[in-house]
Amino acid sequence: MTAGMVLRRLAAGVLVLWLVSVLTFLLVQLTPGDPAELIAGENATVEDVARIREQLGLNAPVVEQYLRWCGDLLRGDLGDSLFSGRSVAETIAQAAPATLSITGLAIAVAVVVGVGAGLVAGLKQGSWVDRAVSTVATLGIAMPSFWVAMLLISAFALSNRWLPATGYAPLREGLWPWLSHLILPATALGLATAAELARHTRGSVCDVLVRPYIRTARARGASGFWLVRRHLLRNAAIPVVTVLGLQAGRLLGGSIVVEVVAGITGLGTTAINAVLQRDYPVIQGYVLFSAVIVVLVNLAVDLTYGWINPKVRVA
Amino acid sequence: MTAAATLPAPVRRRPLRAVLRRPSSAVAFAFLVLLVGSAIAAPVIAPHDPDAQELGNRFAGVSLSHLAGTDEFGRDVLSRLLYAARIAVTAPLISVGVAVLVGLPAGLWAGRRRGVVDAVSGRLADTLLSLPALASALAIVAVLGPGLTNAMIAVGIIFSPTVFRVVRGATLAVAEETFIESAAAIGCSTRRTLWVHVLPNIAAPLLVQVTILMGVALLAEASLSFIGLGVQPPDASWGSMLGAAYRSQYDAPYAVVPPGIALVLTVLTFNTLGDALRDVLSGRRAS
Amino acid sequence: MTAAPLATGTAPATAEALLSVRGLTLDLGTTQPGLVQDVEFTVPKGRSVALIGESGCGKTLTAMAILGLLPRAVRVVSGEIDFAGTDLLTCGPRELRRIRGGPVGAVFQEPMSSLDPTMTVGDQIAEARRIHFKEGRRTAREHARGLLDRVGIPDAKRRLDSYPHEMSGGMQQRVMIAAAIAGEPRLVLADEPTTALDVTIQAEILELLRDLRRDLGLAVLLVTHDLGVVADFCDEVVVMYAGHVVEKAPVREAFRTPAHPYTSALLGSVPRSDRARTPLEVIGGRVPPAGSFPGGCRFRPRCRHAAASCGEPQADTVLAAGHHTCCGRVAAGDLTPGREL
Repeated sequence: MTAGMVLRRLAAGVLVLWLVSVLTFLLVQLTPGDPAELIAGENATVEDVARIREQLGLNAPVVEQYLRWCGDLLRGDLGDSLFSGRSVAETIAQAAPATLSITGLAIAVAVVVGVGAGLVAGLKQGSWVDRAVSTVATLGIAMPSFWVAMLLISAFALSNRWLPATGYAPLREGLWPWLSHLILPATALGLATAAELARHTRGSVCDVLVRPYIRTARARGASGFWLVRRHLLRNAAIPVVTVLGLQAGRLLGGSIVVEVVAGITGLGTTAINAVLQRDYPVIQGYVLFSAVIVVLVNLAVDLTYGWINPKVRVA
Repeated sequence: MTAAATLPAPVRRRPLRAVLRRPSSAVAFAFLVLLVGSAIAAPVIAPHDPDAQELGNRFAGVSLSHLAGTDEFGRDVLSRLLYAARIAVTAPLISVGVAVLVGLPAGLWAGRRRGVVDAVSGRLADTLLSLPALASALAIVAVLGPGLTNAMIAVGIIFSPTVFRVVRGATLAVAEETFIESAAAIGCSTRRTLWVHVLPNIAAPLLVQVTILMGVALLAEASLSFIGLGVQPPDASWGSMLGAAYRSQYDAPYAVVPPGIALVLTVLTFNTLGDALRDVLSGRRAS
Repeated sequence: MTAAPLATGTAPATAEALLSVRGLTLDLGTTQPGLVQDVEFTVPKGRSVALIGESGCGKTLTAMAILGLLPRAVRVVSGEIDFAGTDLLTCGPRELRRIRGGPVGAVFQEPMSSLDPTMTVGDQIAEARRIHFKEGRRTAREHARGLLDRVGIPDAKRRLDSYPHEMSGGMQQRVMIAAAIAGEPRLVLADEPTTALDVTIQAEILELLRDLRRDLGLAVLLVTHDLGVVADFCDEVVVMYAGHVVEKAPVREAFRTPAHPYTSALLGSVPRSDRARTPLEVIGGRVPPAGSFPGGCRFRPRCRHAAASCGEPQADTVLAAGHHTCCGRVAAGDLTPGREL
């Protein structure tokens, strides 16, 4: 992939983030009625409402509000929580590692399980393995991740106390404590994506297997593992990588509910509390942060895509 | 969701019959009929008042009077499941309705007018789609306030770019067809062309998308109700029942099973019908 | 007619035969008649044999059977494919893998889709070296560079790291050929190697194949429907129609005195510089789809000489040394071999 292409992708990402920032800003503006009064609640004094209005900068004209908000944003200042009073940036920085860990691990589970199962199913088309994979995948797509998380926790952490049922241990406390807390929620979260990937991988493998270049490779004596690794995987991966990019946002969003089930204080639980309290700065910060992550993931996917598919590199 | 750019195949005369000829979708359709039936007939067939509490009989197991046991307030789980079926049917309809209401006209407009309108709305749709869906839904619920209707409207807004894309893609593809040109040539107005000629041709991909979105909407409803932003007590949806079951996990570990299975079966039903419709309407054979 | 020693024929393979296909019958595992029925021919060492016919006549299937790369649905009913003493139909996958890309190389049509788009051409050429000679990455790459040179690609060292889509069709086909000879084959199967290419490029590719044949002593089985290529390149011709071999002959004889109405019709449909004023003939109709092959001579419905006897099974008849026909009317003397047939 050329530098020009990377730049173009970056520019597209920045445009998306700008649009998200506008939408996020509009969140407060679109609130029916007076947001300050809503936030302050029914028992608030006039002073409370005035304070909140001041804090949200609602007294200035909209354009000025937006410009000031953007200015703060560019300096990394996302405002302060209306309730805890802590800076939003700090709140997010504290909650992010847990959420990113779950999401990252879920992606890993999804790729290993999904691509693996899809590959086997595609290679053994029409066999019982193929049928089993497709049945499980159909089920996997229909199962809510938080329900799966509950079942897994109930089976592996409550009935059998093999793994901790709730909580989170940061990575610096060691790989196992971190992993042991995350493996169940991450598996639950990644299951639907694994199912989706398995379907796409299978389709892609079937598609590639009948291509003339596979026949050519066989005619050269390539077979078995060699054929799969050198000819099949790369070609079959091209459409699958695109799907993975689309799934990143879904996983990040899905982590909200799974965090609740697993008793992990992450971005999701932070966001839910913020919504219940109408803590607008925190919600705005959360949406913006999610958007940044998704844009970054998609940028990474685009780069991977270019690495896998040489045709994109020169295009 | 890749159906966007391809030209819709002409709708077969009896797509429903073709769909029902497959065993899997026949079963799915039967389940859907059963679900809608029990949602409508819930007051008649439910053995108990879903909100009647029997505090002396909490977390009761399966018995003749409580076929699926009771919950943390001693309410009959089966009756609550049946009443919750009403929400399972109506809540996704709200979301899909909102999505179609926003996405259909916008998609038709962008697909017909092209140019700046298309570029701007396309960008906006891409942006919304690039956000984690549940995160955006949360943000919208923050504005509208919690509650089932608000939550489902939020989900509908999140879905609208998907509908927009499908409609826009189909409109673009149909607009290339010569019969649209001839309609214009004999003096059909743009609006008339859209409603009379374009709409029937995008019905197929839209129908497929809507069916699949029903399942996604139900999952979203369950998620939002589970975390308390959707249906509010004492009403019950399968998602909120799962939430209650989660909170009483130590007292009644199996309470998570019935609402979960109801949820999975219903989502499975929508997905199966959606896949079958897609195959039938695009002229593909059963895979 | 005396039974002269045969260059190609039904007799047991002579010492000089490199590949002999005997009684090869392929079908779809249904009651339909064979897609390929009782096909027999021989490729002698260092010689070049053409397998010709319209598309759908079973020539590519025959070639794929030799490589053990038949589509899943196709079943081998009977026959023998003897390559240098090994029966490729019964030898088992391990032996087959040893032979594919090693002693038997293959060049396919449409190089664009037959080369792996995600692999550099260097790696694709080196692949056979690595598989069959267990060479390391570096040694194989060195060989690949030499092979690129050999097939006439300039600036070979730089080109090793190119991807197929960065090359022209002619260059891609040169890469295919380099990859096919990388395993030091004794036989190369070339399935329509020039069909997808521009006419000028076709000539260059044929020139290259001819050079390689001479220098490496290769035997070539050329599968094609292009008679111009055959005249230019081959020693012997095997004509197939609807899964049957209808005629086998040395190339000169096949062109001068075709002994089957189908061969003659094929020849008539090719423009010739020495008969500029003669209108081209068209063979009416088309090859019937597998499953609706007629009994007896399968060309019968399209043949202008068809008689009642053509509905009977046709025997293979030897007309002269190495010249076979399965046209009963030619064998009986009703018809005289020649281009006016």
